[in-house]
Amino acid sequence: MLRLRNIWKSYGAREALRGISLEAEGGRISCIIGPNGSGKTTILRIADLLEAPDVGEIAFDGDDVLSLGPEGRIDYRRRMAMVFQQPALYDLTVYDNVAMGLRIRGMDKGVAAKRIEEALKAVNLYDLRATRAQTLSGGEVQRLCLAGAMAVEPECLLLDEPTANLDPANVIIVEEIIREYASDKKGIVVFTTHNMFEAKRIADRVLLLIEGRAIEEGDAVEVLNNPKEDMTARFLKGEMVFG
Amino acid sequence: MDLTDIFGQSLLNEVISITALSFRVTGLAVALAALLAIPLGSLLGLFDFRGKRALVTLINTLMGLPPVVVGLMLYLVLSRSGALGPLDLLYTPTAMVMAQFIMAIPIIMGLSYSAVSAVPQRLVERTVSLGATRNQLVIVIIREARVGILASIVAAFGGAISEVGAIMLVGGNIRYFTRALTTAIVLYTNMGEFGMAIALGLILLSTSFMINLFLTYLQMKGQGTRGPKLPRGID
Repeated sequence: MLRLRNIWKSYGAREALRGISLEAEGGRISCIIGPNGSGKTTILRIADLLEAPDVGEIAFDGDDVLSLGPEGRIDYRRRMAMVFQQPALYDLTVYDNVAMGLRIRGMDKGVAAKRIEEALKAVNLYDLRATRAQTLSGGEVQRLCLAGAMAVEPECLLLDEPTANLDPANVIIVEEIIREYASDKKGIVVFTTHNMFEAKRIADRVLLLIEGRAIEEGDAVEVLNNPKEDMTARFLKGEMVFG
Repeated sequence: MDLTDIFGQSLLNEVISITALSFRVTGLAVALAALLAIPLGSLLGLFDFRGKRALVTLINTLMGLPPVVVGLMLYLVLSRSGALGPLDLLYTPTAMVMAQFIMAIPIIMGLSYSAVSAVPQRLVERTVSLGATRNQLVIVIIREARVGILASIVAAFGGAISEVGAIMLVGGNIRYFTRALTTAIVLYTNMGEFGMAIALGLILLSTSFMINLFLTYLQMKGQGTRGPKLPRGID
């Protein structure tokens, strides 16, 4: 289980996160929804130790993550995989981009090749494996990054708006992969979106963030169909809401 | 008709000696400079420290170092009364290598620094997120910057092979010993032997073209042409 408690983060005078807590367990899809600038990406970056919170606790399977030393942090990151909203690609082929995470983990080449093949086939990029990654379209890049994350078979998948650049057909593919990962492999999934319809389709739990503040958290069906908070209801109606 | 008909056997031997010396001296100087300057330039790009801006400014300034000034300074150091005078290196190919080494260092270091600095922060974060150790991260960043780093070697080689002032001062342009293509061109031009000077100029151009062609091939291997592309069909 990934547990974030009372996370605060500021950038200068701007408070990006104000006491956010989140619990994500294996086999379930936790979704952070909220408008642009609500702090969704920041919380994933903190969970992946790319940024340190000003205040707060992170626990993974009961272990305190923030007190880990450099080697412990590397081991922790190797149990996770993050797909960024604005993906960065290595100046390598599609295959080598997916292979990077496995090479960093020092995985045996034969095992790695099998995993890469499976991951590329799952996102319909296997035929482009020898292509330079820089020549891919936005949607293909997004799928490539998901393949790279899936290939390392992480215990926890952090997905920052993973379907933002995709057409409907590809959204279905990606959502199916995320669902299978959670249900078959019992992996922890935390993903962010500003698309409440997507959240309704695949989330088990939902946390609504607005301007760095947690507005409502709970079972996805409950929160999205019968919100308790007025601000949640307004957000779901598509109104501009401010914390 | 072969080269012996054009130059005559003895002249041909001299041309071969001059050409071989030029490439030996420049090749060695640039290789040694690359061994030192690529890691230093990369470290400069990878880490922030106090005085970094001043150091980068200094390197950028030294990239335009006038060869004749380098030659003069090295001459003073290597001359009998200089710090390295007892080594008796003045007017030797070693002195020429030293001069070109000094000139190649800031070029390779400055361009390697730029190449490493240009690696996107997002790529660095993705690599960290994948669980890379510090050493793995450094390797990934340098590999991403490889095109720019190779370009630094191309630039340093081009600058060094065509340089004349420094190697003339510390090499002395001694026949069959320290006479390089550029210093020989100067000599033959001064003697009014323009045919020979032009022939050596053509050798310099064509051989350095071949070497640069090879380095450019390495630089662009498997990557197609890089850089921004103008949209087609727009005047």
